[in-house]
Amino acid sequence: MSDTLQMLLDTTTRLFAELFTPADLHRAAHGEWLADKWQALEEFGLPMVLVGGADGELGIDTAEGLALLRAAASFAVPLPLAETVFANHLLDLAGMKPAAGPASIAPVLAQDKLKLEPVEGGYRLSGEAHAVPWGRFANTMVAVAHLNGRPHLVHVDAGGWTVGEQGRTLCGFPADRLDFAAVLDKARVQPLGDELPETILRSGGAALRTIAIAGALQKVLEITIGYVGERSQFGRTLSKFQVIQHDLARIAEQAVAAGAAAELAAEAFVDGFDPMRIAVAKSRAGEAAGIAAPLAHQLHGAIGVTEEYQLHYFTRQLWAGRDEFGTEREWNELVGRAALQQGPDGLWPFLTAL
Amino acid sequence: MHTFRFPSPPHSAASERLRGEVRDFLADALRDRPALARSDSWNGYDAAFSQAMGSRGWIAMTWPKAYGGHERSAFERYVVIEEMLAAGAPVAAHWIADRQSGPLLLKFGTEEQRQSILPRIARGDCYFCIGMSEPDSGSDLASVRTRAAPVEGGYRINGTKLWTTNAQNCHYMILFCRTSGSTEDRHKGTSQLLIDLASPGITINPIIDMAGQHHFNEVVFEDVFAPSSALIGKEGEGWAQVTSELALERSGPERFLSSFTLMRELALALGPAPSEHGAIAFGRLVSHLTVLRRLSRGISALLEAGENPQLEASIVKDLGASFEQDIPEIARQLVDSAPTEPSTQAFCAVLAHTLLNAPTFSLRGGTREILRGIIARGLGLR
Repeated sequence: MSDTLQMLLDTTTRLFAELFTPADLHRAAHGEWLADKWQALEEFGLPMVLVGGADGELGIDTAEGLALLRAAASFAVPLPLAETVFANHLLDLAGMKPAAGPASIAPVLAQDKLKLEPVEGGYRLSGEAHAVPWGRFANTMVAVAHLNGRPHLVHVDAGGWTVGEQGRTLCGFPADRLDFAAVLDKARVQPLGDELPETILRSGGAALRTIAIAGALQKVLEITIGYVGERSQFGRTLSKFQVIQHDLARIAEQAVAAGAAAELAAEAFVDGFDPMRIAVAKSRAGEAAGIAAPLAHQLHGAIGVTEEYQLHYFTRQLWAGRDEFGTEREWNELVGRAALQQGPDGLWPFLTAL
Repeated sequence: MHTFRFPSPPHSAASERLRGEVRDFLADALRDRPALARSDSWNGYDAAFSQAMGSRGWIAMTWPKAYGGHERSAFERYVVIEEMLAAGAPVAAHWIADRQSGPLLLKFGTEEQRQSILPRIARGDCYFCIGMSEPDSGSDLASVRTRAAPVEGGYRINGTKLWTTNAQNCHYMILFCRTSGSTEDRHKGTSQLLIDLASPGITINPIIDMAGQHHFNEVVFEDVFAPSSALIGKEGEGWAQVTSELALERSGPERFLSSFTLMRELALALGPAPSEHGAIAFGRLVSHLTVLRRLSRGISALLEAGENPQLEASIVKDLGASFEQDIPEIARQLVDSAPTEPSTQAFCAVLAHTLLNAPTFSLRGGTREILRGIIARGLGLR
C-alpha cells in the first residue's frame, strides 16, 4: 500500500466516523437526503476519486480509489458515493467532463434498455430504467443507450428524466424508476466499443458492490467480536465459549474470502471491467455475505435485529449488495457456461488465466 | 484484533513461462494415467515420476544451489506444484520432503544433515514422512509420549507414531518426541529428530483405509538408537520448530485441489452445453476455486518474503477443505450415478474414490476444529 493511500485511508475513515453518526444512518435509512454530509464528501474530493487516475485531484490510481470505497462501506456511508464515483469515472474514460453533485447510473437491470434517436443538433434519449440507485436525489445520470442497436455512453443532467415509482432497497435507500426524455447535444453521447463494452454498468456496478460487501463484512466481523467480548452469560463472556469462537472463525474466513474477491474485482475493474473475473468475485462475495450475516446475527441474539443497534446497517448492506448488479445465480451461470465451454482439458487453463 | 495479511499475488512472467513447460511435460508423462489414478492426487506414489521431476529441477526449487536447490522463487514453485495437482500427477514420494521436511532441515538442520540429505531430496531420491500423531495424541500434539531418552552418543527411542502417511515408502521420518520431562510439561521438553527408517527396532505396520488403500501406517519404536547428530535444531525447542512448519503444510494448493480430478470429470459429464442448474453449480465451484487460489498465492508471497503466515494458512486450509469436500456432494446432485470404483465409467469411479477419501480432507494437517481455534486466537478471542 502506498503512503499516499494509507494517509488518505486514515483521513477518510476519520471523516466517515465524524460525519455519519447513528442518528444520520437512521435518517438516511428512512429516506432522508443528508445534504450537508454530501457537501462534506464533495469538499474532500471523494466523488472525483477515480477521475484522472494518479494524475487526478487526490493523486491515487483507480485501484487505490476503490480501496477508499471499501472503507466507505465499513462506515455504511448512506449516500450515493460509489454510484457518483463510478459515473464520474465513466465520463472521464469516455472523454467527457465529470459533473458536480450526486450522480448515478442507468439502467442497472439487464432487461431495461434506453434508446437514442438522431434529432436536429443531437440525439433524443428515451426509455425507462427501473430500480436506479438514488434516482430521485441524483443531479446527473450516466446511462448506456442504444443508437441503431449500437451502445453509447450518455451524460444526462437532471431534468432529462422524471422520477416514476419510488422504491427502496433493503437498506432503505432510493431505487427509483426513471423515465428518460431528453434531447442531448452530440458532445454528451459517446460510442462504446471494445475498450468500454456495453456491459460496463452491470459489471462495473457488480465490482463496486463486491468491494462494498468486503468493507461491510469486515465491519460485521469487528462489531461481532466486540459484542461477544462484552456480553456475559452463564458467568463467562461469550467469547470464551468454543462454539462461539468457531462461529467467529467462520465469519472471519468469509470476510477474508470477500476481501480477496474485492481485490479481484478491483483488478478487473481497472482491467477494462473484465466481466469474467468480476463475475467470480461478485458471486463469491455474495455467498460470503449470505453465510456471515446470519452468523453475526445469531451471535448477537435479539439485540442485533433492533433498529437501535448498529449491526443491521451493515448486514442489510450485505443482503442488498449481493442482489444488486447480479445475484450469485446470474454470475455463476456466466462463469459456469464459460468454463464448461472449454471442455475438460481447457478447464484448468481457464482457471489459471482468471 | 489481528489483521489478516493476504497480499495480491504478483504477476510473474517467469512463472507463466514455466507453466507452459510443466504442462508439456505432464501431457506427455501422464498420457496413459487413468482418471481414477489421477484422483489419488498427492497420494499417488511413483518414485520414477519423482526422479523425473527432480531431474528437471522441479523439486527443491527455492532452496540454495549449494544444497541441490535451484534458487527459484516461491511463485515458480507454486506454479509447478499446482500444475502437478491439477493434472493428478503422482507426487506423493517427494511431496512432504519438498514441502516441509527439506525446508525444516534448511532452517534448523545441522550442516551435515543438510549436505547429506537435501541434494538427495532435490534429485527425487529421498522421501520423508512426518512423525507427529500418536495413538493418544492426535490434535493434542503437545501430549506426545514417544520418548527419546539421552544415552551415550545419542538417544534411545520408544513409542508409537500413528497415521504416518507413506511411511512404508520413505527413507526418513522427522520425529516429534519428548526428550525430557513428562506429558504434563506440554510444549516443554519436546524435540525433533531425523530418523533413518532402516534403523533396527522400527516396525512399520500398515493401516488400510475404507477405500482399501494403504496410505496410513503405525510406526513402532522399540529401543531404537539415534545418534546425537540426529537432533534437528535445539533439544527442547521441538514445539517452536514444529509450528514453524505449519504455514508450509497448510497453505498450499493441495489444500483445495484434492478433488480437482472429480471437478474435471464433472465438466466432462455436464458437457459444453449444460443445463442452467449445472452451469450455476459449476460456476460456483470455479468462483470458489479462483478465490482460494488467490488467497493461497498471496501466502506464497508472504513465504517468499520470509514471513510465517501460520494464521492465514489456517484460513486457506479450512476454506479449502470445505471446498474439496463439497465437490463430490455437488457432483452427485448434478449427474445421476451409482458411485463405485470398479465402474468402467470414469465419473462414477472418481466420485466413489473422492467420496471415500473426502473425510480426511478436514482431518489431515490440522483438523477443522484446531484450525478454527487458531483463527479464533488470531481474532483475540483466546
